[in-house]
Amino acid sequence: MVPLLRLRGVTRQFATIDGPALQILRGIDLDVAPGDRVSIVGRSGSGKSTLLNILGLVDQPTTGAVELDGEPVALMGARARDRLRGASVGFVFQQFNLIEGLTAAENVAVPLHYGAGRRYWQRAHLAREMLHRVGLGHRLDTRATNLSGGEQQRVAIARALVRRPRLILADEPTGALDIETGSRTMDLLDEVATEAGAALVTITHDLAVAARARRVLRLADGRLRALEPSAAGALS
Amino acid sequence: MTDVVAAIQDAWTELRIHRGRVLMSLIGVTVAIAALTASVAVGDLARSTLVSSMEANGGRAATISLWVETSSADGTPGDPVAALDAIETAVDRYRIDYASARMSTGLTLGGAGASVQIEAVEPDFAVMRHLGVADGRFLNESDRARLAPAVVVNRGTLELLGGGGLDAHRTIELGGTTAVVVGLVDRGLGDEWPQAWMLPRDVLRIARDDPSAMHSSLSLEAWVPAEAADEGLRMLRQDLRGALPGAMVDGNRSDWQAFEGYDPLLPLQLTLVGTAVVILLLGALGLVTVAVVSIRQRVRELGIRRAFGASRTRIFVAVMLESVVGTVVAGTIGIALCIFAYRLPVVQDALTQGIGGMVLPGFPMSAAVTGLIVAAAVGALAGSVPATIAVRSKVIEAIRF
Repeated sequence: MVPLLRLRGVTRQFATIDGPALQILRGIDLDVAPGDRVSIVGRSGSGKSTLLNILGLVDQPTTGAVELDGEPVALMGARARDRLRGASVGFVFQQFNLIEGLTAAENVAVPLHYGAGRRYWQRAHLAREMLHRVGLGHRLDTRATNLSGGEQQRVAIARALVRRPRLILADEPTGALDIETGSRTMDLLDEVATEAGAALVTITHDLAVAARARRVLRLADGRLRALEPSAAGALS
Repeated sequence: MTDVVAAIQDAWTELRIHRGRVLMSLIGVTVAIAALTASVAVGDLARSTLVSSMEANGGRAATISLWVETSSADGTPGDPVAALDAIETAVDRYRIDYASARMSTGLTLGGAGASVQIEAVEPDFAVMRHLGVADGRFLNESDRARLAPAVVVNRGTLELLGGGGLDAHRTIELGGTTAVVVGLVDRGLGDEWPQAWMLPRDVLRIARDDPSAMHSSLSLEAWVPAEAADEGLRMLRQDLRGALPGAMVDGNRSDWQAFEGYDPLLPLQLTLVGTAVVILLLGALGLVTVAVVSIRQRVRELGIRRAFGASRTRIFVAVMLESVVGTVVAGTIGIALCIFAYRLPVVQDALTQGIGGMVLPGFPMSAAVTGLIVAAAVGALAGSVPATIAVRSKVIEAIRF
């Protein structure tokens, strides 16, 4: 079976002005199957955001291959990659990253601006439907800044899912929430991802959040390793 | 299609979200476009007014004038009727659409005892010299058959008769001949000098019966295509000399465009447009400054849009369109303000001062169109700087930090 996302021998290095290049990722291999649940943990500066860039088709590896549905991403043009990202990947961020000044429904509709014609014209309806799904049917026209942290993250989840992506990248999704709200948010994220049949890759340094996934990977020294079953079990 | 609509929708949404900033930054553009539009409009008006004034004095481009002096060198008077016949024959021969024999004389106005300057002209003269008739009509072909000559008077002549309108003076006595007043010319201020216009043959007839009437030599004015002016002048001169042996015939082009390289409005227009361009540059500079500062604060938002599928091109176009939509809206407001100001009575009075009786034309469309095009161009130029900055921002870094 062809995995949804496949990384093989991915490295990423950045040039510095007066020193050797910084090697952030070294030989990353990763398969994400449709509907998979993967958590990636690591310390600050371990390269999680660099990996997120590559998983989300925002950045290209220095060497190695990234394939989505078996298609090598490196062979795609920038515009095609942008379109593919919009259609296939949904992002959930730590700081919610809602657009101030827009209402909850308008925020959820943002990804539909970059989609196919039919979805663009139905964007208001689809956004409202998705907000009802995450339990915010009563806050449709409330401005993002007037929502609580938990509500904002639910809007962000609705926004990530409104184009029915096959891969959801959650970057520290509970980082700005208290424990209880964070737990409820992860329940919701898991539930709607399951319902949509989307794979969920969560990047976190919260081991409790990581333990909710089927597979937990640790990023350290630029390398990705599966957490020992005993350690993963202990987390849960 | 959807992409275009969505890009415009994005731009409009951004303008709505950041309306406070947009409003502040666009005030300068509104003022600048209003200034530019007003400058172009005033320049157009001044040009058309001055051109009308110069054409009223020297004829339209191209007007050729020929003087026919039939008196001999020893003072023996010539035959002006023969000269008039020769002029009419020449005009007919070359099928000139607009032409007029012309002669000046002074005739005594019965009842007032004062002299009125009579211009002996053909009906075409009104068109050739922008002679506007405020009441009644100008001379026409049917007036040639009148037993009592037709006359068109100015306000100064009416004042000599005690004022009132045209109806109060249906006939007047000029040089002992009763003439029917068919029209009133009103050129406003500066038109107090009593004048009247009559057909040349009528004037010659009156002058023949009134020994005190001294008239000028005859001339011919013809409004011809510019490219035919030189040749036309040569042919007419040749014809008239041939038809009037012993007469002195000479001529030239009398319209203002005959003086090559002379543009009396150039300094005024350069000053107006130069001032407007400086204002526009200052407005654009303010717009760019605000846009650059604000785009740096919007990196996170643009990163979010990129993460959800917006391409670099789409971000560039959206940011650019924000600027263009903003400046076009601001420009439209600026143009509307100009048109509103143009229609205010106080402004109309100021613009027509010294040109009494002049009715201003509608607001020049060329000024409005120029203003709108410049507004869009300024928006595109000012938008390209923040748009370039926007597409260079890195998505994830923009979102995470």
